[in-house]
Amino acid sequence: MREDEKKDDPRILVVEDDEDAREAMVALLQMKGYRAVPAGNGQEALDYLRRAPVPDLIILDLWMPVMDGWQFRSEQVKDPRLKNVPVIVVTALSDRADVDANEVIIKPVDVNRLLTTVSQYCRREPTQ
Amino acid sequence: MSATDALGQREIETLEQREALAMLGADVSTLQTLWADDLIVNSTANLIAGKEILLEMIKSGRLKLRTYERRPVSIVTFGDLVVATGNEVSQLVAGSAMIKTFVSYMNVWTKRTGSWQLLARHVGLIQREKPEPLQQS
Repeated sequence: MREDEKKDDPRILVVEDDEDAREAMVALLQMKGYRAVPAGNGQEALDYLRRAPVPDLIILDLWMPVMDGWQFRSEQVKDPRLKNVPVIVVTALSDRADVDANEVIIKPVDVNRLLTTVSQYCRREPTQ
Repeated sequence: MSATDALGQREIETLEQREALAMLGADVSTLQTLWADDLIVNSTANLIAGKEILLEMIKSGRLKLRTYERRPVSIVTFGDLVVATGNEVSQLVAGSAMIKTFVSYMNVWTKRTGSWQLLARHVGLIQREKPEPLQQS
Protein backbone atom coordinates (compact mmCIF):
# COMPACT_ATOMS: atom_id res chain seq x y z
CA MET A 1 0.00 0.00 0.00
CA ARG A 2 1.26 3.51 -0.74
CA GLU A 3 2.09 5.74 2.23
CA ASP A 4 -0.65 8.21 1.34
CA GLU A 5 -3.32 5.53 0.79
CA LYS A 6 -6.20 5.39 3.19
CA LYS A 7 -8.05 2.26 4.16
CA ASP A 8 -11.35 3.61 2.84
CA ASP A 9 -9.99 4.82 -0.51
CA PRO A 10 -12.06 3.25 -3.29
CA ARG A 11 -10.33 0.15 -4.68
CA ILE A 12 -10.03 -0.26 -8.44
CA LEU A 13 -8.61 -3.24 -10.34
CA VAL A 14 -6.98 -2.29 -13.66
CA VAL A 15 -6.83 -5.28 -16.03
CA GLU A 16 -4.68 -4.42 -19.03
CA ASP A 17 -1.90 -6.33 -20.76
CA ASP A 18 -0.13 -3.28 -22.19
CA GLU A 19 2.40 -2.29 -19.54
CA ASP A 20 2.48 1.39 -20.51
CA ALA A 21 -1.30 1.70 -20.41
CA ARG A 22 -1.66 -0.32 -17.22
CA GLU A 23 1.01 1.60 -15.30
CA ALA A 24 -0.20 4.97 -16.55
CA MET A 25 -3.79 4.24 -15.51
CA VAL A 26 -2.70 2.96 -12.10
CA ALA A 27 -0.50 6.04 -11.53
CA LEU A 28 -3.30 8.36 -12.62
CA LEU A 29 -5.89 6.71 -10.37
CA GLN A 30 -3.52 6.62 -7.39
CA MET A 31 -2.79 10.31 -7.91
CA LYS A 32 -6.52 10.94 -7.71
CA GLY A 33 -6.86 9.10 -4.42
CA TYR A 34 -7.95 5.63 -5.52
CA ARG A 35 -6.33 2.37 -4.46
CA ALA A 36 -5.51 1.08 -7.93
CA VAL A 37 -4.20 -2.46 -8.36
CA PRO A 38 -2.75 -3.76 -11.66
CA ALA A 39 -3.37 -7.12 -13.37
CA GLY A 40 -1.82 -8.15 -16.68
CA ASN A 41 -4.68 -10.30 -17.99
CA GLY A 42 -8.02 -11.83 -17.02
CA GLN A 43 -6.48 -14.82 -15.26
CA GLU A 44 -4.21 -12.63 -13.12
CA ALA A 45 -7.25 -10.52 -12.29
CA LEU A 46 -9.31 -13.56 -11.21
CA ASP A 47 -6.42 -14.92 -9.15
CA TYR A 48 -6.16 -11.57 -7.39
CA LEU A 49 -9.92 -11.22 -6.87
CA ARG A 50 -10.19 -14.69 -5.29
CA ARG A 51 -7.73 -13.77 -2.52
CA ALA A 52 -8.33 -10.01 -2.08
CA PRO A 53 -11.19 -7.78 -0.95
CA VAL A 54 -13.83 -7.14 -3.60
CA PRO A 55 -12.96 -3.92 -5.46
CA ASP A 56 -15.37 -1.06 -6.04
CA LEU A 57 -14.69 -1.08 -9.77
CA ILE A 58 -12.88 -3.01 -12.50
CA ILE A 59 -11.31 -1.33 -15.54
CA LEU A 60 -11.00 -4.02 -18.19
CA ASP A 61 -9.20 -4.27 -21.52
CA LEU A 62 -10.71 -6.81 -23.93
CA TRP A 63 -7.89 -8.06 -26.12
CA MET A 64 -5.37 -9.72 -23.80
CA PRO A 65 -3.29 -12.90 -23.80
CA VAL A 66 -3.93 -15.87 -21.45
CA MET A 67 -7.48 -14.79 -20.62
CA ASP A 68 -9.17 -12.01 -22.58
CA GLY A 69 -11.75 -9.52 -21.34
CA TRP A 70 -14.75 -11.49 -22.67
CA GLN A 71 -13.62 -14.65 -20.86
CA PHE A 72 -12.96 -12.67 -17.70
CA ARG A 73 -16.48 -11.22 -17.74
CA SER A 74 -17.94 -14.66 -18.26
CA GLU A 75 -16.04 -15.94 -15.20
CA GLN A 76 -16.82 -12.83 -13.16
CA VAL A 77 -20.60 -13.12 -13.51
CA LYS A 78 -20.46 -16.78 -12.42
CA ASP A 79 -18.95 -15.77 -9.08
CA PRO A 80 -21.62 -14.50 -6.65
CA ARG A 81 -18.97 -12.51 -4.78
CA LEU A 82 -17.80 -10.67 -7.89
CA LYS A 83 -20.77 -10.53 -10.24
CA ASN A 84 -22.03 -7.12 -9.11
CA VAL A 85 -18.71 -5.31 -9.32
CA PRO A 86 -19.15 -2.64 -12.02
CA VAL A 87 -16.89 -2.89 -15.07
CA ILE A 88 -15.60 -0.17 -17.37
CA VAL A 89 -14.27 -1.69 -20.60
CA VAL A 90 -11.45 0.20 -22.33
CA THR A 91 -10.79 -1.02 -25.84
CA ALA A 92 -9.62 -0.03 -29.29
CA LEU A 93 -12.05 -2.54 -30.76
CA SER A 94 -14.87 -0.04 -31.25
CA ASP A 95 -16.75 -2.37 -33.58
CA ARG A 96 -16.17 -5.42 -31.35
CA ALA A 97 -16.99 -3.99 -27.97
CA ASP A 98 -19.86 -6.50 -27.74
CA VAL A 99 -19.34 -7.11 -24.08
CA ASP A 100 -21.70 -6.81 -21.16
CA ALA A 101 -20.23 -3.89 -19.21
CA ASN A 102 -21.42 -0.84 -17.33
CA GLU A 103 -19.43 1.47 -19.60
CA VAL A 104 -17.28 1.17 -22.72
CA ILE A 105 -14.55 3.74 -23.37
CA ILE A 106 -12.77 3.61 -26.70
CA LYS A 107 -8.96 3.94 -26.87
CA PRO A 108 -7.19 6.28 -26.96
CA VAL A 109 -8.78 7.02 -23.61
CA ASP A 110 -9.57 10.60 -22.73
CA VAL A 111 -8.25 10.92 -19.18
CA ASN A 112 -10.95 13.38 -18.13
CA ARG A 113 -13.69 11.05 -19.38
CA LEU A 114 -12.10 8.11 -17.61
CA LEU A 115 -11.87 9.99 -14.29
CA THR A 116 -15.45 11.26 -14.57
CA THR A 117 -16.74 7.77 -15.31
CA VAL A 118 -14.68 6.22 -12.50
CA SER A 119 -16.02 8.77 -10.00
CA GLN A 120 -19.58 7.72 -10.91
CA TYR A 121 -18.89 4.16 -9.75
CA CYS A 122 -16.76 4.80 -6.70
CA ARG A 123 -18.16 5.68 -3.35
CA ARG A 124 -16.54 9.03 -2.70
CA GLU A 125 -15.14 11.92 -4.64
CA PRO A 126 -11.47 11.41 -5.40
CA THR A 127 -8.75 13.84 -4.28
CA GLN A 128 -8.87 17.01 -6.39
CA MET B 1 11.53 28.32 -47.63
CA SER B 2 11.11 31.99 -46.72
CA ALA B 3 13.47 33.77 -44.35
CA THR B 4 10.58 34.03 -41.87
CA ASP B 5 9.98 30.28 -42.02
CA ALA B 6 13.69 29.57 -41.47
CA LEU B 7 13.69 31.87 -38.46
CA GLY B 8 10.58 30.10 -37.10
CA GLN B 9 12.25 26.72 -37.57
CA ARG B 10 15.33 27.77 -35.64
CA GLU B 11 13.12 29.16 -32.88
CA ILE B 12 11.20 25.87 -32.69
CA GLU B 13 14.44 23.85 -32.63
CA THR B 14 15.46 25.85 -29.57
CA LEU B 15 12.04 25.49 -27.95
CA GLU B 16 11.97 21.74 -28.61
CA GLN B 17 15.18 21.36 -26.60
CA ARG B 18 14.01 23.79 -23.92
CA GLU B 19 10.79 21.88 -23.46
CA ALA B 20 12.63 18.55 -23.27
CA LEU B 21 15.00 20.00 -20.67
CA ALA B 22 12.05 21.30 -18.64
CA MET B 23 10.46 17.83 -18.74
CA LEU B 24 13.70 16.27 -17.55
CA GLY B 25 14.05 18.77 -14.73
CA ALA B 26 10.34 18.67 -13.81
CA ASP B 27 10.45 22.45 -14.33
CA VAL B 28 6.75 23.12 -13.98
CA SER B 29 6.96 26.90 -14.34
CA THR B 30 8.75 26.64 -17.70
CA LEU B 31 6.28 23.99 -18.87
CA GLN B 32 3.39 26.25 -17.79
CA THR B 33 4.72 28.86 -20.22
CA LEU B 34 5.66 26.54 -23.08
CA TRP B 35 2.44 24.50 -23.04
CA ALA B 36 -0.79 25.92 -24.40
CA ASP B 37 -3.65 25.82 -21.91
CA ASP B 38 -5.56 23.60 -24.36
CA LEU B 39 -2.62 21.23 -24.95
CA ILE B 40 -3.57 17.69 -26.02
CA VAL B 41 -1.10 14.83 -25.56
CA ASN B 42 -1.67 11.27 -26.80
CA SER B 43 0.90 9.11 -25.05
CA THR B 44 2.28 5.63 -25.70
CA ALA B 45 -0.18 4.50 -23.02
CA ASN B 46 -3.03 5.47 -25.37
CA LEU B 47 -4.19 8.05 -22.85
CA ILE B 48 -5.15 11.52 -23.99
CA ALA B 49 -4.28 14.06 -21.35
CA GLY B 50 -4.30 17.83 -21.06
CA LYS B 51 -2.03 20.40 -19.45
CA GLU B 52 -3.57 20.31 -15.98
CA ILE B 53 -3.34 16.55 -15.45
CA LEU B 54 0.18 16.35 -16.92
CA LEU B 55 1.48 19.09 -14.66
CA GLU B 56 -0.18 17.36 -11.72
CA MET B 57 1.62 14.12 -12.62
CA ILE B 58 4.97 15.91 -12.84
CA LYS B 59 4.44 17.81 -9.58
CA SER B 60 3.43 14.62 -7.75
CA GLY B 61 6.53 12.79 -9.03
CA ARG B 62 4.45 10.20 -10.91
CA LEU B 63 5.95 11.35 -14.20
CA LYS B 64 9.68 11.49 -13.57
CA LEU B 65 12.53 11.15 -16.05
CA ARG B 66 16.11 10.20 -15.26
CA THR B 67 17.39 11.01 -18.76
CA TYR B 68 15.65 12.49 -21.77
CA GLU B 69 17.09 13.11 -25.21
CA ARG B 70 15.04 14.57 -28.07
CA ARG B 71 16.23 14.39 -31.66
CA PRO B 72 14.08 16.37 -34.11
CA VAL B 73 14.18 14.92 -37.62
CA SER B 74 11.89 17.35 -39.43
CA ILE B 75 10.46 20.77 -38.65
CA VAL B 76 7.87 22.09 -41.10
CA THR B 77 6.26 25.51 -40.89
CA PHE B 78 2.65 26.27 -41.84
CA GLY B 79 2.37 29.95 -40.99
CA ASP B 80 1.58 30.14 -37.29
CA LEU B 81 1.70 26.35 -36.94
CA VAL B 82 4.89 24.30 -36.88
CA VAL B 83 5.03 20.50 -36.94
CA ALA B 84 8.14 18.93 -35.45
CA THR B 85 8.73 15.20 -35.78
CA GLY B 86 11.55 13.09 -34.48
CA ASN B 87 12.53 10.50 -31.94
CA GLU B 88 13.29 10.45 -28.27
CA VAL B 89 15.06 8.19 -25.84
CA SER B 90 14.29 8.48 -22.16
CA GLN B 91 14.68 6.68 -18.86
CA LEU B 92 11.45 6.82 -16.91
CA VAL B 93 11.56 6.34 -13.16
CA ALA B 94 8.84 3.89 -12.11
CA GLY B 95 9.01 3.21 -8.39
CA SER B 96 12.35 1.58 -7.68
CA ALA B 97 12.93 0.74 -11.35
CA MET B 98 13.98 2.61 -14.43
CA ILE B 99 12.61 1.93 -17.91
CA LYS B 100 14.43 2.93 -21.07
CA THR B 101 12.02 3.85 -23.85
CA PHE B 102 12.50 4.77 -27.50
CA VAL B 103 9.63 6.66 -29.13
CA SER B 104 8.76 8.64 -32.21
CA TYR B 105 6.91 11.88 -31.69
CA MET B 106 5.04 14.66 -33.42
CA ASN B 107 4.81 18.02 -31.71
CA VAL B 108 2.56 20.80 -33.02
CA TRP B 109 3.57 24.31 -31.99
CA THR B 110 1.40 27.37 -32.47
CA LYS B 111 2.15 31.08 -32.24
CA ARG B 112 -0.24 32.91 -29.96
CA THR B 113 0.09 36.56 -28.96
CA GLY B 114 3.65 36.56 -30.25
CA SER B 115 4.88 33.43 -28.46
CA TRP B 116 5.20 29.84 -29.57
CA GLN B 117 3.43 27.22 -27.46
CA LEU B 118 3.13 23.46 -27.70
CA LEU B 119 -0.47 22.75 -28.70
CA ALA B 120 -0.49 19.01 -29.47
CA ARG B 121 1.82 16.04 -29.08
CA HIS B 122 1.53 12.44 -30.24
CA VAL B 123 3.98 9.78 -29.11
CA GLY B 124 4.42 6.33 -30.66
CA LEU B 125 6.34 3.54 -29.01
CA ILE B 126 9.36 2.19 -30.92
CA GLN B 127 10.83 0.04 -28.16
CA ARG B 128 10.59 -0.31 -24.42
CA GLU B 129 13.36 -2.12 -22.59
CA LYS B 130 12.84 -4.28 -19.53
CA PRO B 131 12.78 -2.35 -16.23
CA GLU B 132 16.12 -2.16 -14.45
CA PRO B 133 16.73 -1.43 -10.77
CA LEU B 134 17.19 2.27 -10.22
CA GLN B 135 20.84 3.16 -9.61
CA GLN B 136 21.35 6.01 -7.17
CA SER B 137 23.34 8.84 -8.76
